[in-house]
Amino acid sequence: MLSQMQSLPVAITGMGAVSALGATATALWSAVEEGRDGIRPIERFSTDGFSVSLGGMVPGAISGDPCAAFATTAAREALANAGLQIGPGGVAGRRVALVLGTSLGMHVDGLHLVAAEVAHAVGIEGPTLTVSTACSSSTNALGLGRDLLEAGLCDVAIAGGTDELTPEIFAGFHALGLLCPSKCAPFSEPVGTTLGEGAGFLVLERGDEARARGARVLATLLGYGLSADAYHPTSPDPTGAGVARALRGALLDAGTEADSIDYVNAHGTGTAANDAAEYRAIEQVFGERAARLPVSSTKSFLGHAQGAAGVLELIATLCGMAQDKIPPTLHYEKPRPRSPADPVAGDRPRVARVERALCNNSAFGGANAAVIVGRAEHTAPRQTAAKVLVLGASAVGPHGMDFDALEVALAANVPLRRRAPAFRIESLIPTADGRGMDPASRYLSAAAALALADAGITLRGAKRERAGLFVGTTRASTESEREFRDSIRERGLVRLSATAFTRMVLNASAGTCTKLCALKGPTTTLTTGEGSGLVALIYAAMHLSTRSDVDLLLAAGVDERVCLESDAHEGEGAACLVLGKTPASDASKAVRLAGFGLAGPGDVEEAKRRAIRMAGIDEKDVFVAPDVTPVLGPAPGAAAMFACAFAVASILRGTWEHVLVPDPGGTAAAAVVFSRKGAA
Amino acid sequence: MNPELARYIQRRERILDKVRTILVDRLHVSRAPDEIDPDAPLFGTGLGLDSVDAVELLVSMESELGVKLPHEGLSRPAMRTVNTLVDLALAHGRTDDVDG
Amino acid sequence: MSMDDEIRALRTSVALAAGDHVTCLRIEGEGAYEALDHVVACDLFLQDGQMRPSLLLDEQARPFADIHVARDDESFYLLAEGPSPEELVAFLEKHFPAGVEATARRCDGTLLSLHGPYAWELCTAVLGPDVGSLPYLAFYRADEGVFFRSGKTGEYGYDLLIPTGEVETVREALLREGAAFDLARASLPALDQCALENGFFNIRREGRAGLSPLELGLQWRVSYRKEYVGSVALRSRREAGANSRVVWAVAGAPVAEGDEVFLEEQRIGHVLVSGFSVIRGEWVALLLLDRPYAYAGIDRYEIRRAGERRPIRTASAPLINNRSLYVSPQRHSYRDRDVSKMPPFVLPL
Repeated sequence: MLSQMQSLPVAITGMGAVSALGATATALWSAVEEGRDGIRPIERFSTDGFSVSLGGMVPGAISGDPCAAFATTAAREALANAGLQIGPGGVAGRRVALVLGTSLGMHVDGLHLVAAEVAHAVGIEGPTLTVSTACSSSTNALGLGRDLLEAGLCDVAIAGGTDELTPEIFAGFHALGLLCPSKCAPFSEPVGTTLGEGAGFLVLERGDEARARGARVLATLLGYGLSADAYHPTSPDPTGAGVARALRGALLDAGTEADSIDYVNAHGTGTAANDAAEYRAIEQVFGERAARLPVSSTKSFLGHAQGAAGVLELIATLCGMAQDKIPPTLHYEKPRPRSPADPVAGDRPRVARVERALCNNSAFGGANAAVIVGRAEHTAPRQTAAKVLVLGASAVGPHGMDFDALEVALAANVPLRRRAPAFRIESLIPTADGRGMDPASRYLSAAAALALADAGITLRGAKRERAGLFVGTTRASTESEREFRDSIRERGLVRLSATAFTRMVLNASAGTCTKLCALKGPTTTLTTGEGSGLVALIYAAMHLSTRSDVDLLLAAGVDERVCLESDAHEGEGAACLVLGKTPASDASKAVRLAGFGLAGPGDVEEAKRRAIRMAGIDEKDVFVAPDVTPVLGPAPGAAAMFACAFAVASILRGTWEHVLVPDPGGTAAAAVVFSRKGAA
Repeated sequence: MNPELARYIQRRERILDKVRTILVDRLHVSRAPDEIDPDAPLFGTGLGLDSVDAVELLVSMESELGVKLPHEGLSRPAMRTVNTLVDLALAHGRTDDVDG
Repeated sequence: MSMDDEIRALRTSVALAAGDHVTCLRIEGEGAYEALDHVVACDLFLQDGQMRPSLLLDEQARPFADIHVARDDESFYLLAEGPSPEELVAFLEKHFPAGVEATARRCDGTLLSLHGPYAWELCTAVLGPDVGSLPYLAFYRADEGVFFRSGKTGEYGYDLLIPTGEVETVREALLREGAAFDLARASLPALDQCALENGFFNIRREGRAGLSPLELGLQWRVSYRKEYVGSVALRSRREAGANSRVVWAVAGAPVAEGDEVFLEEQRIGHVLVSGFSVIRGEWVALLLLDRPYAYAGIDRYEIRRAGERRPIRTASAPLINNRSLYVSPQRHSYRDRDVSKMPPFVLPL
């Protein structure tokens, strides 16, 4: 059984924010105190031809890449606020992790490079991870930062998010009819959202260590929850069931009941669909208390800062908690029916003591994330980690879809120089409608279905809510990207393809896959450049082993070719492992995910050492899985996961007892050890 | 057949073909064009489109058939079946005959 | 209450109807999917909790039942109109492939149906927000019943399967709460008239004409990629080509089933179904026209009856600009409705 003990939760010791309200967290909060929003006519780009011209833009001139510039400023502020120095005389750079949440950014040729630039600017040399689940990215990033600390993979985590409001994103939301003609008025009329931008970071440390170094603990990160709507690329599940799963997951993780939450900072985008579904979820989780629960949306001040929304809204919440105040919802004049009973309407914060607050965010692709923060003195239960087992594996790539064909191809060691096979998704998932699926979504869904089949698992009923999907990849589908770019070139920004736009988020393929395979539990999509899939596997193992709201996690890497020439030496496809844990999955299969390690970019030796140490074995007993790239071609997201599938197969066949899969990676080095169950 | 009626039917057929092409090429409806009945509902599980596709459909109707909505209020009644799209194009599309 | 009043309520507020013309079956067993896939004409692309309209065809590819098929985990619900419950079960048992483990049994309970632009709001009031917030073609199963968001009127529609012991209580609650919505009770003929106005297939009317999905314009409800009962016949009819097709029409003067349709002196078809639309203030009809003439938007055709010629105009269905298109459960409520802001029921494009 998982044992529970109360312990000091991860401490929040610093914060920094760049937003429409100014370049510091203080500026953000003073505007909230004064009831000033940061929504203005957009000047950075032309809004001619659009029916909307408002945005929550960061004021002032920006030099360089805005995403990186915002983030660097916010990260520096957060570190200074925490009284932390990285480098000589302070904490070692390689023990500091950066977890950055960002949405589209339109950085399709290296989304992970934004985080790399920020890490470099502030001296971070530890694992540098980019969570990209669209508008819930930074909320999810905070949770991942917490997990890294608890797994001992870093000593300080700088977690948060950044996003820039680009003309493409503005045009995409406009085309989808989601923008409000006036300043957005969450839960009120008129409907629609106002887009914004900015960056926010929190400094996270293990509670005891933060106190030991004499840090001022601003608040505690008590728990978080992730879920997949498994419903639609852009519309939330109108019943609110998806959001409710994330809220319940966060409560369970924090070891607390809904009754202990004093305030909810809602996603509250202002769109009819989001606000109604989100409040439905709040009603489901809070029951009759929903009628008295303060629920406000900070987007009425900031606009919707996309990937940075969650952390910026949490910063507003934390600033309020420090002064016994709750941030209000601005522009609330004509309430919509079935919206929060207490939206904290008005232009001044409400005086009220908040012990624990819950912040929720939802995203395209149906990725929901909720986080619970508490005052400094709160404790939270910590679970001892369960053992992680590999229940099934699959690999869909240039070698084909047959798992054994991968081994044959690797044994032959000849470059395949071909695309992943063509197939009908209905042949693998009979209830799936393949209409409009791009190759990345098809590869990922196929790999997930095959891995579940390999594990002999049919997900039924409530089990689906306890099964999730973690994906590592580096870019949105190149086919969808071409469709998107072509639509802009041929028809102009105002008439860009809304359908292609919805597939430009990095988590689009995960969203489709969760829907087709009915994976309604936790979901995330992350990138580190090279090795993204392996990092997703490590996150999945950490997440699965320490939580009681999930039984199964599928971890996958997926790539779609960029090159159009059919015989290019470029890999693509998806590989997936189904992870279960003790004691529930004890009886099945015979491979353990025995150890994992993460380290800063290039430091693969450190990642290997950690993985081997965690597995409790000797380095000389470990077989190192071959690099699949010479045969399958470069595949930054999936390559290491193909190697993992190979490793699992070779252990099951009895060839090896322990197999190590290392990847020097892009912004983080990673290594995983698989062992035959029962092997010493 | 009366030549005027014959011309109307011919024009309607050509627009219908165009709309079917839009549905297959732009909206990825996985049907052969002749399986797309003129009275097939666009949304729900008719042809399986959803709200996101609606935007793309209107843009495609404009770029392929020159349809300019005289006012926003027409978009819902026009986007119900394949036939209502054809009606829309006949009423508000390019006045020059659509080339085959 | 007259049928006109029933329809007015259904088109502007909410109407309650008995659901005894619908049979609800549950298909269960290891082979439920396989068995159903072999019988139902559409691809069973269904997520858990979703439903879709399709048909059961006979061996000649004529509609045997008008169905919604809904997926409940690994089992299915079948909401069917047309055959009796006994005929339906017999059809399934006859056509389920041998050796596949699947059972079809009639669901316990009684069906009530609610339709109207504010049906969702009454559902929320009586059955809770989980029912009221259901998206189109989804269902929700709870202890109190199974609630399907479907309908064939063009308005928000719900088929509510209530345990028979509870049905009176629920009916009373709907009537009681419905008073604030000016609820009316609607008869089956009223539902059928609304289906006709909105272009929904009606198995009790045009479904009896011996036509296939090809002539009925229902190919979107069938698959050409798999085999099922009637698929062979349908494919050969498709290859041969249909020589007629249904088209909707409106007329100022009465139109009756069986009336012949002419273009000048040439007979080009006949009237399959007709009825007076109180909402449009004119007659509406479903015609079966020879293929070369089967188009909407033509005002040159005539109905001939007893030597009299009456003009008729073909039109694209739906013939009603339903208020449900403009009412949002996220933003509106019946109490605060502003009828002056509602678009007209008949809107020329």
